[in-house]
Amino acid sequence: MSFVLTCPHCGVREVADFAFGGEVSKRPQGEPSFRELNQYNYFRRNVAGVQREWWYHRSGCRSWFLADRDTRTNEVLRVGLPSELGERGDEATA
Amino acid sequence: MTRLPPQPGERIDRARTLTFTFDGKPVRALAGDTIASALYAAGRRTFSRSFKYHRPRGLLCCAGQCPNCMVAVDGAPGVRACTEPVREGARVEHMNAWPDLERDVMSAIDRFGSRFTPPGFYYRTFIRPRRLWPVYEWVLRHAAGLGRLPGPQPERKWRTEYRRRHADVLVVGGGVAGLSAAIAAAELGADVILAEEGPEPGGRLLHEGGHEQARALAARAREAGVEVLCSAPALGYFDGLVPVWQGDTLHQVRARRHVFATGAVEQPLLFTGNDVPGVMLSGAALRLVNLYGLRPGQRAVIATTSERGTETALAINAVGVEVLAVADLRPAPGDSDHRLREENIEVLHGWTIAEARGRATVTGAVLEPLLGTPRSGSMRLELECDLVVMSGGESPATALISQAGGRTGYDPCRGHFAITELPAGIGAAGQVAGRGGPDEAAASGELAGLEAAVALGLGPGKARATAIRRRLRRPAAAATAATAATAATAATAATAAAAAAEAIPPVTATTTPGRAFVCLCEDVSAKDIHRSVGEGYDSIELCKRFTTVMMGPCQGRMCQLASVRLMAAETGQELGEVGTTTARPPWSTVPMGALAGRPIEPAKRSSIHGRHRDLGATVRWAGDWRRAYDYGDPEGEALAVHRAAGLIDVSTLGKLLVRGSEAGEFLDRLYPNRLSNLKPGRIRYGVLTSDAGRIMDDGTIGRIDEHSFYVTTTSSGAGAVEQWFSWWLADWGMDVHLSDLTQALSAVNLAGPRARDILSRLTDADCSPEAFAYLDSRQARVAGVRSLLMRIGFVGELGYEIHFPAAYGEDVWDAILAAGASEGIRPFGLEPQRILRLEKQHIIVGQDTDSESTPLGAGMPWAVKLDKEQDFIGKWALARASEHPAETALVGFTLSNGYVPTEGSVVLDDRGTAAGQVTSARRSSALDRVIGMAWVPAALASAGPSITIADDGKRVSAEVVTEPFHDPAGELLRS
Amino acid sequence: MSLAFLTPDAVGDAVARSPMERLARAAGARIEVREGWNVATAYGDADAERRLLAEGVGFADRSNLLKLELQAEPATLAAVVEAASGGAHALEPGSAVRANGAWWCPVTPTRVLVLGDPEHAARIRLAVSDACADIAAAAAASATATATETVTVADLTSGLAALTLSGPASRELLARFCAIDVRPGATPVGAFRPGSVARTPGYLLREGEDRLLVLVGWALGHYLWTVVADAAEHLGGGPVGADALT
Repeated sequence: MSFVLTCPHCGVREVADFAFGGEVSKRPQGEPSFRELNQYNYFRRNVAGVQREWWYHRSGCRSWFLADRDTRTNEVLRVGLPSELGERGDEATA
Repeated sequence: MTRLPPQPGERIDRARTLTFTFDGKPVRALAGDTIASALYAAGRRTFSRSFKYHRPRGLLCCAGQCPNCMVAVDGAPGVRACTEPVREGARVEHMNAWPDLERDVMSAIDRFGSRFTPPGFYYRTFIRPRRLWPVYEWVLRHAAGLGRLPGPQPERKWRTEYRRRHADVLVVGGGVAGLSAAIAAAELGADVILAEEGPEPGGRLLHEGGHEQARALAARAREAGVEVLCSAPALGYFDGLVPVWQGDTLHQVRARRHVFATGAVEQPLLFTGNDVPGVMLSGAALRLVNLYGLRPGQRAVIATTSERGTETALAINAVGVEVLAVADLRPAPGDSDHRLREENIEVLHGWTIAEARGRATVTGAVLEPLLGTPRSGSMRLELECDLVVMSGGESPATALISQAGGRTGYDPCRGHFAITELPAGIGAAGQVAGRGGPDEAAASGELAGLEAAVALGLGPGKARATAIRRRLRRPAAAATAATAATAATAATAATAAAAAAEAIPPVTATTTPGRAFVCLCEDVSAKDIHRSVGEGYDSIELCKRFTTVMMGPCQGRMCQLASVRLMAAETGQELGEVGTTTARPPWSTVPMGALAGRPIEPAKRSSIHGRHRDLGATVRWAGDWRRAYDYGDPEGEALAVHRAAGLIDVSTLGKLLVRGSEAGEFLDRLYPNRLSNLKPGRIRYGVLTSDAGRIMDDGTIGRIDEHSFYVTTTSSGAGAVEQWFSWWLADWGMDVHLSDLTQALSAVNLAGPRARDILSRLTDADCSPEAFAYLDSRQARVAGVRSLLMRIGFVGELGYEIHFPAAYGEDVWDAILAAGASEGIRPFGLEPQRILRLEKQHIIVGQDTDSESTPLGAGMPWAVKLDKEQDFIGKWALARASEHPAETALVGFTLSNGYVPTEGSVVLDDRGTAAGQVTSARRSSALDRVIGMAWVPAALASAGPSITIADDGKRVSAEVVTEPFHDPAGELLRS
Repeated sequence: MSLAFLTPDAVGDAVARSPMERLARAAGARIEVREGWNVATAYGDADAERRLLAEGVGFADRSNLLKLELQAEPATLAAVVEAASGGAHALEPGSAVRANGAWWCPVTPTRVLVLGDPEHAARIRLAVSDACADIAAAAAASATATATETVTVADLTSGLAALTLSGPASRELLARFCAIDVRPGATPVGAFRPGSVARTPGYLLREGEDRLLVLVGWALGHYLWTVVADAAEHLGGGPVGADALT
């Protein structure tokens, strides 16, 4: 893996500059059931295709942002801050 | 051997001579020679011994493609002599032969042992008895192999430079197509780098009579600003990053567009003895003549499938090589036929070579009509010769394009695998894209260069690109024959190829016994492929793994196509169905050392680090920090903390400033306990949990003022905690600012009964227990430096953590040690700190906890406030966990017999089954016994019972202790 | 000022030291105390240092630069920078502004890193804190202010180690350990690039035509020097004193 990623603040950088935060998932609201809690803690959709995920520009501006990445090709279609791309809710664009 | 008269376009400079040694003997060379050309001029024909059978091998490609001429140069193995320029005084040695290349004793395997050494023999033969494997391994390692690594060097004698490069366009391949692409892109204003694996750009033009054009193109490219890297093979394509290895430099090129003009690799033919020295590809013969002024042999036989062989026949004939016959697989005369006849060279159409004779060098060749043709079997021609020139067609070098995501498919017209699909941003030009002749190659290169530039917004080039595209769309002048290249259908193939420029070679032409080598790198013969299919390894990928075909240094350049052909014939499939193996980097040979990076580790060092060294500290890695592990006497250092005072550098602690109007609320959401009600100037312990209720980190939270909190984390967790905090902040969007102060502040812990007296000498702050109580924080000058002081005690004695700007690390450290000298202060390291904290049963996250531990199980239910109104991270999971009694608990234990169990030893329950493990254990001088912590079954988690610890066969009994061993009531800590 | 303990400030004997001081001394540096810092002013041969800067590449320890991290909402942040730097600037991440003895480097729309000359450090600190105080006072006086908006100034002077690479080979030197594209078109003078430097988080500022400022965490200062010295040696470069840079 050595693709490049575009940080919304810093621009294009090697992927090694970033920390991967996993696919976006919605934190349950209120009192989740045991099943909901386990679903949230332990299950991922693991999409073969475009998914929205968290990235952290660890070596640069130290900001978290969202990216729509094709997990098959590592092509990144879109990046943006949570305020621009919507909340971290289940807005996966698969 | 004397050189030919000067050849037009030759690379050597006859006026300048150089000397190097080969196996200790001096060899004279001309400037411009490669090691191989100089050795060839000196009469050498055997350049290496093969991998498995130790057969003599000679020059095959002269283009750095095959494994045959690999030598060791100045101790570095695996150097291809045919592309390595001669350097004055270089020490060149042969590889893989003993005592020398001419008399290699291991070649006995070839003569006598070969029937016992089919592919896979070592997996089967050397399995039993198992204990002998080290012996087998030693023998095999010495029998096989491709050279010897130099022994350990006190200092690295050579170094690799790493250059990160950026370009608009990277062109790989410096033939006519690559040069044209580079020129087109650069002339439109693109930043272009061109990487050529050979010593000079120009490709085939250089040795096929086009040297003037080649050199003009190269000059034009440089004028246009193209950076031309020579002797610089591209190693692979990694998501747009292309490493290019050049001498002692690894260029890591990141370009926005790529043009691959990697050409095609001339293929050997498959016949008995096709590896005997003196059998070479037509390109090799031409390079020897045209670049180095060398006559490749005296009497030659040519076997070809295209004009390449016939043109070579004419070229070597012109320099005085007697060409005995040309076996041209094409059934009908080609363009150069009449010229061959004018020179009285016999051409046999529909014939090919069946055998090359000789051991150390070629002594003869056997020609036959192609198997399956009407004349076959009845006729054969045996000729005495010292040179066999073969040309078995071409295989496009598509590996890098495949790595970039391109696809290839079998082209039955051309008899090889060709590109069928190019990924976005990747261009292909020249032979690799099926654009063969110089003019077509140049046009396709120019087009690829224009397309790359236009895609980058440079121009104008669109109209020119369209015109070239239209021109290239016309069908190629010479049609090729569509055939299925199996022996059975070769007759029809031959007919169909009547008007073709190129015939597709048969799977194998051999009727004679003996070995025909498919893979020269790994010594795999046609029979081995046959056996592999017989064993059931009937897909090309399985066959590769079983026989190791294509796994050697040539990476399939010489053998992939032949292997696929054999596999197709063996399994009755079409070549397209067989397919190719995955193209993996590295595409070219590269020393491991070149990929290792500069030997400098990114180590974090406290600002006091130099002083620790001065004091004789044992320095060890702790995460990404270099830390003082002890100063030579860990137990004594720990005792000093109990009896007088100690000073430890804790600068590695993570330090975060959390500031804002909602900072208290923010921390309440992250920590299971309450922090918003903390008073300014006070400190509280906190454990961080995940939403699964598992412990992630722990530390202290001090409130500086209404809006500011000073959070410390573990040393190893600093980065993760900062990430964790900023992640939730990005999500919650609160009025909170984070500043990472980890490296900005040095921190020391002054601890021990004399700590207060020592500190009082260094600061104006009131250090009395009333004014500065346990878990208070104060700001004051210490040794004149503005600092943050915190009364906390990881080590269990009266103690102060002093945090101050890192620029003063050494000065503050020195001042404290000086002030405490009369009290018997000692610096202490990480190891004594671990003893001290264990005496207090203070946990270390990651040492005493793992990814399954919750604060409830780890004996810290007081750090979890489930009645807190906020929804905090981990609340739901911890609430559920609190409803069920934990199965295991973390407790202290003590041993009286002096045995220190290994960390990780198993705790057994009363039935003798594993029920927990020891996480920490140390000898405590202060307590005069061994103490530790362990996860034990909940039933045993109360003071008194004994547990059994199983450690590497030993069983020891230990007593559970649930409260701190040292100062259980915390009176010293609070004093 | 509750965050005063972040600012290097000492009375008495303590002197502020760069994390590279020991390496600089080993390389032959002459050390002088300036503004409370031990500064490597020269390495013996002033002509040789000047030649390195004119013809090759030299590197100089600049860890004593003032570094302030300002955080606030974009409009407030712009107001603080305007007041403290003495001019209005568009704050675009990636482009630093040179004003009032400092580089004002926007990292994100809500965070600015101020890199100030050591001799102006006290003045710049004061200008920033005055600007913050004025803005807080204005916000308090304004009837429209509904919530308190925080402005944070964290003094990271000893949080970031800094080296200047200077000379015609400075870009080549950087390319030996950093993947950031510093071709003039991609990184013009004044460009500010947070990103990985020598495999560790860092910042890069193109201070001039042939001058790059590299910053990494303080604890990695020693490491950074080692990396740069290793690469520079091969390019015929070497350390230069603070005096050679001016």
